[in-house]
Amino acid sequence: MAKHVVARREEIPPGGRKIVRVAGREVGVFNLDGAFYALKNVCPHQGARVCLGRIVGTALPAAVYEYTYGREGEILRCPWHEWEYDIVTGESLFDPNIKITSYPIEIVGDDIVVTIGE
Amino acid sequence: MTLVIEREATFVDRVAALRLVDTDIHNDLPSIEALRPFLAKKWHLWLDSGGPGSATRYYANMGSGRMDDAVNEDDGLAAGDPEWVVQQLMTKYRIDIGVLTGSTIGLGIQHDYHIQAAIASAYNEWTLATWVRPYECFKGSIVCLGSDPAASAAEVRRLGQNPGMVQVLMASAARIPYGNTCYWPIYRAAVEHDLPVAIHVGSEGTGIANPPTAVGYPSTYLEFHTDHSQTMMAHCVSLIADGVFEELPTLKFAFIEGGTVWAPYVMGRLDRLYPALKAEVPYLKMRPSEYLLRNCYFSTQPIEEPDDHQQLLQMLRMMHAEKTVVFASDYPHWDFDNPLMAFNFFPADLKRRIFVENAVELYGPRLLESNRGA
Amino acid sequence: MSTIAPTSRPEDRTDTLATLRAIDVDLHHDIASWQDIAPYAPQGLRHRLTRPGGPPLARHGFKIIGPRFGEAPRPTDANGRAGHPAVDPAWVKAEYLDRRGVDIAILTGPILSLGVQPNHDMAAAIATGVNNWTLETWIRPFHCFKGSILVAHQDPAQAAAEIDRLGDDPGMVQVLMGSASETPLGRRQFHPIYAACVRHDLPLALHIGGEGAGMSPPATAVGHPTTHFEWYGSLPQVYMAHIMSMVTEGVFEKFSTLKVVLYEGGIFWLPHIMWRFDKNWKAQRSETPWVNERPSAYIRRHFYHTTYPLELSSQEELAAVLEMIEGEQTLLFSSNYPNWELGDPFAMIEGLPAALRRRVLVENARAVYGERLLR
Repeated sequence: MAKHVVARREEIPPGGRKIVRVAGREVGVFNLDGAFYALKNVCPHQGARVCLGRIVGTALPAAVYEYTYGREGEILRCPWHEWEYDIVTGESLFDPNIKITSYPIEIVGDDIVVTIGE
Repeated sequence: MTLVIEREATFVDRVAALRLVDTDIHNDLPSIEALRPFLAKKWHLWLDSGGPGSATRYYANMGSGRMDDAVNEDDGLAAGDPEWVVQQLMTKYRIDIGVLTGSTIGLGIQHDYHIQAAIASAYNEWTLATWVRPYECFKGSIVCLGSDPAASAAEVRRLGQNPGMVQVLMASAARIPYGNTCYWPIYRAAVEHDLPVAIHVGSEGTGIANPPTAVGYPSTYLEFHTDHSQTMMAHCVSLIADGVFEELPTLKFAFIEGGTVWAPYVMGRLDRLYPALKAEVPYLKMRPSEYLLRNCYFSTQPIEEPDDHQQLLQMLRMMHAEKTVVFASDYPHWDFDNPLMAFNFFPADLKRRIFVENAVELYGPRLLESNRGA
Repeated sequence: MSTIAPTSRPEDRTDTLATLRAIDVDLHHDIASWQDIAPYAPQGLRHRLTRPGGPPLARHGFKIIGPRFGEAPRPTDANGRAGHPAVDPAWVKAEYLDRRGVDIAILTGPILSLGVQPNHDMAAAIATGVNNWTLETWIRPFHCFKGSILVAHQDPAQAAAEIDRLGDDPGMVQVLMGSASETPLGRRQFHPIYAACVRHDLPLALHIGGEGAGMSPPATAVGHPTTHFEWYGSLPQVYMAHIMSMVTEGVFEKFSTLKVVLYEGGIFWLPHIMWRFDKNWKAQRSETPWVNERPSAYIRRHFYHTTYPLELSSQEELAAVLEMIEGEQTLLFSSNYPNWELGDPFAMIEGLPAALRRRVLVENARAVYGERLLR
């Protein structure tokens, strides 16, 4: 387990993201309303650089023929097969067992620090 | 004597050196204006008017419909620049030869077959000039209209000897199933030039084409996309049942982007029906499944993904995938299959057949001929 | 329209569900003459059924060319001519059911295109007439026959009314609709029909055969087939479209107890459909946010399939496909009597392992149709 400084806090404003290379892999760092999240830039499906996908909302669970759009800015859509992932947990919306690897992240002073295990 | 042996060894060696043949790359036409140099002057008024009217479909993807990470900032397209495609697809995914299917497959479902036939011809010339002659790694398709068999047969004959073109390509969206004798002029022209005919999904329910299913229009894109394979199945049954493969035993027919493992249903059901119903199709001399296995090819994409990989391999065995299945990426569409990952559980020999050898058999020696003479 | 009062005689039933040898879910009883049906149809339209040639009914031109009925038993008349194998219930019981060890047969009749007939009221009147006639002449006098409530789905209100009229009749065990349709059956206009089905705890049977008739689109998504062979080979594609529609339109979310039986479609296309549908749903899920589970979960849970005709295959291939689709629970024995041109229906399942064969012959139908089978 090692901690890595990946960016300065002001580099990633709320709603923003940065792709960084750390410990031999690409990681996407996301700022959701001031909270930071780090996801490995590999989709568990076929290996796409998932963190480059659109950050969107989604249609919320609904009764038949009802449409409510929500969670704007919380969902990462893989740029290939459009699988929707919860940025906070890395879990896909259709099956929580299918998830993007996520890393512990903390703010130390002005630094964003990601912990990468071995 | 020595010369002949050398030539044979070279071809075999060259095939052995291939890593992957991609049977479905959708290169972009940046704008219809690009066709102007290739279009006779009498059609230029259509270009001056912004192109002919174009029926479009209702159904839309939830995302952009293409691989968002593959867009070239310079032109806003994922497949507009051949160099970009070489970099983003061919090099990255270790593809040695790619067959271009383009983005104008559905010309045959537009109403005005006069202008569409002219556009198809201009498009084919544009493909040769822009993508095929300058690049040994790309091969083209002779885009044709199912709606105008006479013009299409002429186009096939016009380009049939060109080493840069490896197949005839039509939309699977149609008014009449492809086994019907109205299309046989196209197939005869293809056979004369040893060209396979490929059909590709996408334009269902649009323009002059039938509804996307035999029971009308689905409501959603989710259904529409999943329903695509039904047009493939219907054409496959039609080609067999109307005796196309009996009449033209060397015709190879490829089903592109319609999914793969529906073929066992066609084989099994038609073989169950045939002994009792053969009087209705007296021109057939073999079992239906024998025609399918001899004449038909099926692209992998989008590859079906059961949780249990072995089940996919079981279905592939039923349809003799070692002979009938060819790899397709569908770059740059959203449902692209990554060849570096999606087939890793395949037995090595089957994967080799699907990645290279079946495509070589489908397209023939032309696949490896230089494009310099194209 | 009044119902025909049931006159079942429970004291005559000596069998129980446990002693059944075989349940045949698909017996096409036939109509010898529309004059027979007319008295059972609504009074105002009776005269349309008695016209020469029967009621106006659009037909397609796809028919079997060559000998009919295969090795199905045939009655002979006084002149030694072969008669129709399915017009006389007593004869059918003696010569088919008793000889072959079938205890219960579900009647599905000869009309498969009712839902694409242009006149809603004529179609509904034909359904009512056929249902009433079937009850009185086939079902009431015989324990071995059970019926399907035939409905014309192009007018969902009338169809639901017919289901409500007969839904609690012990002689009826399912609702029957031709799968031929102007529009996919998941659409909301048809939901009142499904509501009626579940109100009465009745499975819904869909049956191919009307495709290309009347108002229906061409029988394939790419146009009209040329021969009957091509047409019949393509018809399973219709079920695929309906499955897609019913799942995406939330039919099984709204009607979680609805069972749908797909007749004569085979099963080898189900793995492709399940896997393709699941793969697309993962991507396009937000278009239909009420589809909470993988589509294949709905398909496995709600759809049943019949054995006549199964695709020609090796036993290993059949076993493999059954495992992929969980078909051990969802495959139902059907004879398609008297249409045995493709072979003997029992021979088609001969190679199944004994325990599976028993499930297919009896237990799966028990699970679908329940105690109603013996009422």
